[in-house]
Amino acid sequence: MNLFEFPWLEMAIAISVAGIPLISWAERPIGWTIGLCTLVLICVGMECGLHHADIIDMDDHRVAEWLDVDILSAPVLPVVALLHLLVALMVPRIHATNAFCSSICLSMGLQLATFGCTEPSLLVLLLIAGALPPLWEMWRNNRHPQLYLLHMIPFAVFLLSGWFADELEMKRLAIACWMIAALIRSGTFPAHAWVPSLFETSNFGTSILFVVPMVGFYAALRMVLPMDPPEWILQLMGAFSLLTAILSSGLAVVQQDARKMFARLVLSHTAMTFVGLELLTPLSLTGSLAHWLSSAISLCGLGLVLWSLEARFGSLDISQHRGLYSKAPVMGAFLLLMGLASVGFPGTIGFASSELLIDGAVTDNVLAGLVVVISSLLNGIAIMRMYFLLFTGKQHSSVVSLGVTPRERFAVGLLTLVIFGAGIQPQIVLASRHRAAHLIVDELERDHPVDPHHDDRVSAAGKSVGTSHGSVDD
Amino acid sequence: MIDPVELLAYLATVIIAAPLLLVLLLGSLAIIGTIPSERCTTRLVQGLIGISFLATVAATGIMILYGIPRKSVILSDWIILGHDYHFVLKILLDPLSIVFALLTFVLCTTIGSFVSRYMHKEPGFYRFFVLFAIFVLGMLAASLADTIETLFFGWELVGLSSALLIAFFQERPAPARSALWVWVIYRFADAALLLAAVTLHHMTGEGDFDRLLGTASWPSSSGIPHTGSASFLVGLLLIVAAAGKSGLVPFSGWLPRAMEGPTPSSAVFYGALSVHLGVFLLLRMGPFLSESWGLTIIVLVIGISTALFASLASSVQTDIKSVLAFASLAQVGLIVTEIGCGLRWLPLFHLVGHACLRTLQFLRAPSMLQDHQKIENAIGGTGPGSLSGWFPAHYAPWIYRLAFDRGSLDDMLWKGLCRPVISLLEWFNRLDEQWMRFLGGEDSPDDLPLTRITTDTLNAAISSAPSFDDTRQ
Repeated sequence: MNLFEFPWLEMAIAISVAGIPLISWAERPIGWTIGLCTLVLICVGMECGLHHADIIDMDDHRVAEWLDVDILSAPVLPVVALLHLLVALMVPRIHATNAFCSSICLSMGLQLATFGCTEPSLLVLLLIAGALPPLWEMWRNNRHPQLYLLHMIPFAVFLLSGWFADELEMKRLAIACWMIAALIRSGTFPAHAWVPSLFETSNFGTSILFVVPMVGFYAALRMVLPMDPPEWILQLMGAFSLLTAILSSGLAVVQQDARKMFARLVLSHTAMTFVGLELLTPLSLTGSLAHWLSSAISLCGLGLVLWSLEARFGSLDISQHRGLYSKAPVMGAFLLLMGLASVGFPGTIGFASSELLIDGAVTDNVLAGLVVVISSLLNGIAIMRMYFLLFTGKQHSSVVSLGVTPRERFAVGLLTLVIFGAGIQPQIVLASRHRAAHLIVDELERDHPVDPHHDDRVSAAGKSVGTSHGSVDD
Repeated sequence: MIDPVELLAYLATVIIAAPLLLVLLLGSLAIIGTIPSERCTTRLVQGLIGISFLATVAATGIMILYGIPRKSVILSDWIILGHDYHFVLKILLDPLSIVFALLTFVLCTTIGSFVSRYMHKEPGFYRFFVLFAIFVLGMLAASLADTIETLFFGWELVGLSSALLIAFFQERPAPARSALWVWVIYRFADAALLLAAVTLHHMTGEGDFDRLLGTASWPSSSGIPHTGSASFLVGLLLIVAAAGKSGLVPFSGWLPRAMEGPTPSSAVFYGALSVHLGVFLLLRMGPFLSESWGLTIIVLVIGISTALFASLASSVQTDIKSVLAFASLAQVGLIVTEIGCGLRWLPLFHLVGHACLRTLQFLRAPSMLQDHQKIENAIGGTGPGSLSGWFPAHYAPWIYRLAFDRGSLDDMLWKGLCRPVISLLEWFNRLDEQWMRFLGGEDSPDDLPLTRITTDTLNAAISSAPSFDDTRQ
């Protein structure tokens, strides 16, 4: 077996799973965690790089047949591995316990399996299993999981109901159940309360890893879209997503606590990602898929910077000026960088994806485009407000050094490279997302041919496909 | 023999690449924690901006020598997504862009030189130059842009550097509050420009200016006439964007707040370049706007009202930078009026002259009081009063008060728009937290029973003072 035939994704998942007991007993868990996450990132990078290069058909060398890397998941897997590595790099020493480090590995293994899985039945089980790490941590730390369970139990119930409905060939019921499950998991209004609560009660790193990768969006892509949902379901999803986006951005502006503000930002960005899904045109889908990646990376960075600041200065109250700049100037720059990247500032990873999302939204639904623009506007105001309140004002006094550590500097440097690299040269990522968007639309047209007179949406999506684009993986 | 067109393309790339390299270099050094000395920083800034400046001068020379009135250079086919989307980074060398770019270089090199002495040994020396570099890149990108998306790129960079420089003296909360208010106005203007860009993209298939305005050299237009409600909406959005960025009525309240920043940044931003960026947008899109009588009238009304308001306000201010800010705004209002009258070259020359004069005045602002004392000693008394004798005695106090309160424009925006929105959001936030506590099984004595969420509660929330940061000085 040569390097090209090696089952890299299976290896990555195996390393993650094997790391759980290993790190539970390790003396220096954080070092082991960083090492394992790096290995996993390399494995996943090899898998996706070989897939992108189209060197060989990776399906021939799968050990686990339920795993499949296609154009939709290919860039997402390395991003997920990167997020876990970044959390491991930036975890404050006080939180770097054996239990937390093991949970990073558990989360990484589950998420890689989830994002690599295309089999709906197994995906249901993986999604339910993915909801367990935060619960385990809440129980370990004697926190109240009531609010979390109030949402995750219905999430699991709807997933399983959809599965049964699918088995019984009750397609519409399956679509509805899975759509509701995806929306709950994404924190869409009115099932949003668990997200701010999770950030308030849980370890910041665990919350970031659970929420920021936007697993609910992936579930909607894999499970709902291929079944050609009726237009009213997509419109309902779109309406709730738009409401969530604008409400969350507005609430982010008036928060008095940095964690709550961050939670609202995440909700807003997740909701905006669903907007393109509702419109179901190649351009809007490309915008959504690109926005998914850019938001995940930049929000993870923003969250990690806030976590580092919390470790130094305690709870980040943003009801008054804190004057932290004199003690942590580099953190201020990092926070601004990550925050502006998340709102699509020019030159950063989010700019091109925001442009596409807005462009795609405005084409088909002016109201959707307006809501996305207003949400971005409010998110930008929230970011700057947070920066000014945290870093300006009477100088914070401290007798100990609060500067950035080498680990943190490396992590944020890596993020900066990704943010600006993809920002300055977004073509590679966007072209891949565009191919994935066309794949989705083409498959919809092929598997569910419609009478153009009766389904304007799909026929419009089909008409917007010019020539056949990119590689179709099957 | 070198092809002049090829050489122009190469020089155009250097014009943008040099400041971009400067930003990346200064930013990278800050991230890795290696802050160079003041001398090194100054030399770096001078060197790279100097290269860009020389490239601009060379390009200008070639265009004049070879009689090339206009040259569009594609920097990069930045995003190509089949037939679905195309985003090209293009810059345009024509009389308007070159004049504005040269003005940017002249004033920025002057300010850079001033700052290297004025801010010697200041703790934020390096930070100032990082933001300054971002500003220069933004101004060049905006002034040389050949697509509305490229212009938006520079527009945002200018806005960010502006807000962060207003909050430069960050030990005091007041500059930060002013910076946040300015940022809010800028975001609003950015949103308007973004919507205009997206709509234009769909009207013409691209955001290129030559599709909108034709390929004739500025200020001529040979484009297809754009009429209809979509074009009117786009024009309106562009006017709103320009008004926000340049502090035209009704957004004029932010300009005196922006004086919280260091004097050099006030000079280059609000005396010279940033405050004229909205005017530049109107000049660039002039042929598009002038196709609609409605838009032309709106531009005229905004220009005249800004000029009148700012003249009144400047004559009653009590600190020199506010006086200069409003004086600057009055001239900007006049320039906008000239654009509304269909003139193109006059506003451009007016802009250049005004920018240079105002930069000088701002830089001399710290010495202004001394200058006034010398003048008063020489003439043996004070000068004429500001508003005395201009208005009937019955109305003078009212007009004085209106001018002194700066037209209460900020108040109107705050009370009419921001406070109700913030109050509503805070009310939603209280409801949301109450909902979370209810679901989580926690009780709070402050919770209202959900059944009592009535109109009275809503009214009480809206009429109460907001707990949002007070952005007013």
